[in-house]
Amino acid sequence: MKKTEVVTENLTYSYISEEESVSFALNGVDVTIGKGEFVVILGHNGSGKSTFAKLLNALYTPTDGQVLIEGMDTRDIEKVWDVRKTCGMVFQNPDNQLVATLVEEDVAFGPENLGIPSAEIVARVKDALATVGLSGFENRAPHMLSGGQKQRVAIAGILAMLPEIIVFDEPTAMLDPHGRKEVLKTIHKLNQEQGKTIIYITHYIEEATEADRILVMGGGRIILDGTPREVFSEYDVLNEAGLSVPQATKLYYLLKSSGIDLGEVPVSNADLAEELCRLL
Amino acid sequence: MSIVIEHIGLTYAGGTSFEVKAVDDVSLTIEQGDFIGIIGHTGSGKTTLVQMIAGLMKPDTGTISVGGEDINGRDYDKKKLRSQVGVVFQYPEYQLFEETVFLDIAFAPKKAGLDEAAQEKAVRKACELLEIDFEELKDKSPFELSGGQKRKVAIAGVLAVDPNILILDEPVAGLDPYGRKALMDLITKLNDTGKTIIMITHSMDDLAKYAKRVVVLKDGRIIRDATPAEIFSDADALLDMSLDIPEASKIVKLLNDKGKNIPKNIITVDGLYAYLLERLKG
Amino acid sequence: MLKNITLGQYYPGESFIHRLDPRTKLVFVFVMVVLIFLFSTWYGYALMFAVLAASIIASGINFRYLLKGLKPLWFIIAFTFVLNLLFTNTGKVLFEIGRFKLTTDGLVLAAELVARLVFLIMMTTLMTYTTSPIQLTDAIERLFKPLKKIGFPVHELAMMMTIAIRFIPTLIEETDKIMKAQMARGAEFDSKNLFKRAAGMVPLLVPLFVSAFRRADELAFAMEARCYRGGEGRTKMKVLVMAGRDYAVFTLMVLLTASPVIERLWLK
Repeated sequence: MKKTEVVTENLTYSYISEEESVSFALNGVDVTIGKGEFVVILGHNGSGKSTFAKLLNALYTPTDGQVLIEGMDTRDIEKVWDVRKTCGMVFQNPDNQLVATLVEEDVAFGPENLGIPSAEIVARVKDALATVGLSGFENRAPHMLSGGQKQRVAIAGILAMLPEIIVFDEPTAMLDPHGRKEVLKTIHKLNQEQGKTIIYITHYIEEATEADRILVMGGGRIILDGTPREVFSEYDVLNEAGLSVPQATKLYYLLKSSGIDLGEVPVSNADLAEELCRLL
Repeated sequence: MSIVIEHIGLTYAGGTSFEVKAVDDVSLTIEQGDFIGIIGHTGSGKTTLVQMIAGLMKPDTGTISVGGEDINGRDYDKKKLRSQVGVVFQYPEYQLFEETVFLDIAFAPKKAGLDEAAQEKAVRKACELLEIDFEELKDKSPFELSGGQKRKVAIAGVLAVDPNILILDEPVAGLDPYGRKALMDLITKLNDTGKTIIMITHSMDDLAKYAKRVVVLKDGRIIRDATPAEIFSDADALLDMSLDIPEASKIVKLLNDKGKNIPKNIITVDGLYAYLLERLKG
Repeated sequence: MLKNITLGQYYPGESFIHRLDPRTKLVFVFVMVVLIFLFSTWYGYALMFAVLAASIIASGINFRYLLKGLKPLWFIIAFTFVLNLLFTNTGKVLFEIGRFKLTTDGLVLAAELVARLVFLIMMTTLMTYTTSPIQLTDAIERLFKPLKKIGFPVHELAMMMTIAIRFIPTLIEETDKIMKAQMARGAEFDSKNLFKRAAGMVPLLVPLFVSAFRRADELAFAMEARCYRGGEGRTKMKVLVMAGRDYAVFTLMVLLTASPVIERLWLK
């Protein structure tokens, strides 16, 4: 039985919209995420996924329901800093996360806020930069880095706080394909080599193929919850939610509609190629 | 109106230790109605190149002629170029500034010298193209709109002068699948009506599906200029340059690595589907 | 490409001057700049310039770079020189043009003022060349720490300065982008008419401000996510520690401070 890291119960976030009516960004979300899981949250813009992310580390507090991070209630003011230490967050805009004029000083920002002794901060910064593949970049200026490098510095900044869970809010949306690959590789490494629990939010379905589990959000609710294979099999539900399936899966469905059944729903290009090879 | 670019070059910080040849001896001819994708690694000169075509930067060497006139010539009035070449920058929603949506979209027409009646006509037309509800949004502040609406308004602002040539720098960046398709369909529609489209993108799937021609830049030089099918059939060359290839090409490559002999000029999922249907059902 | 310019033109290095605690440098430069105005004989100036020369050598910075620091201010220097030359009427007259008399006193005064200006500029330039912006901010934060007791927001100001310095290159890049986007829509930023030019700034300033606020909002979330809660309980990775060389410089500074007094006494 995996230790539960994140539990949400009837998580709701409402606000007063422009027209003076109550709008729900999230409407009763129940989710349990276990330690070491790599969960991808998919949804179109406006589905509530970003709000969900900010509720996980107490940047927002629920208007109803609750979020427990390793048993800590995010509404508990006493626990807010522990929650944020345990559950780190990386945002979409690489520039608007970096606060210092040197890479190593930015990575040190989190530990400094936690009151960690100077010598230990130095060690943590070194390790964090090594993990993200940026050893040697200590004295570089953030504005001179590429998008992918900036995001990795941001990730290092979170790693230096030694979190158990890391939430990524569309971290590759503003990167070019090269940067996107770098960042995804780093994130998978954190999950596979360091056992970090990863909650990855995106609207790019191709990034979800290697997840342990996918949660699809729509209209402030969870509409699908399963493995990639299970989720990609729900073609119609995904379409309605404003999402597409990976191209490989799309091709599978096209062939199926013409009577060519390849078997299991392919999750990646490799899956599809294997199935096609049997027929060709 | 064709664009003729001859041997242009631009060097940043010339003479210092930071000297960088952003664009290095580029020549290119673009005919009216072309749909060209420009691809290349970050720093290959794509943005600099299109900014020069739009007359926003001046090349150190060479000439750029639009409609037969040298746009950097002494007697050329750049104002004319503004109505002929529209530029949609990356994340164009960040350029909104006026008090109302109407005024923002009307900015370019106003600067082009149109009178109020003509401005309104232009704004209405642009709104129709972008599927913006004119009556509902015209008096709203652009800053009240959602991200997707803001982008539409920004693009409407560029289309309002009805330019012959449209330059787009990563127009679908940050859009979700719905938004992406809607925008690409619009761009294709504009191309169908005869507008020239020059698009910088990293989205190879979009180029495979919509573009007629792809130009590959590397280190400030054009190294390939051909149809999407021709460019993407050489997957290895692109992957070597850290460039992406269309998803369909990735699948084709995987199949060919196992000796299945799929034609390399298949670059879209629809194309692959059609081919496989034939081959499997034959 | 504007982002290639490092703010304050900091040239990293390992020289004696580079390795001084930034507080030492700040205080030393401040004291030197005050002192130069207290000397009145050529011996005094020679001493100060000797200190300057020694500092330049000890910093390993190419003298030509330092002269470059004077370039933008050559006009003020020249202006000061000419002004004092023309309007000093005491002393032996060397030359006369209409109402203006060129006198020996005038020459001496003008030369003195120019010497002081040059010293001031070169001393501060040397400091910014050898001290990174973040070091300077840290130094200011440490030096002003006692003011915390009277409620002066030292940490907050230092944080603001750091963030401002960090974002200047980013904002410059964004300004360029916005300008080009608006130019493409027909905006003109080079109108000759001053009013037109001011009005023309709106398409540039509004998006820039809106964007700056958005950045601030996002940055605030990012900082809070990293447990930022003001200066209470914060530690620093790089702690400023005075070393032997700093004490040496302070000793030199004290000796130099005594010099104008000695100078006056000796010359009486």
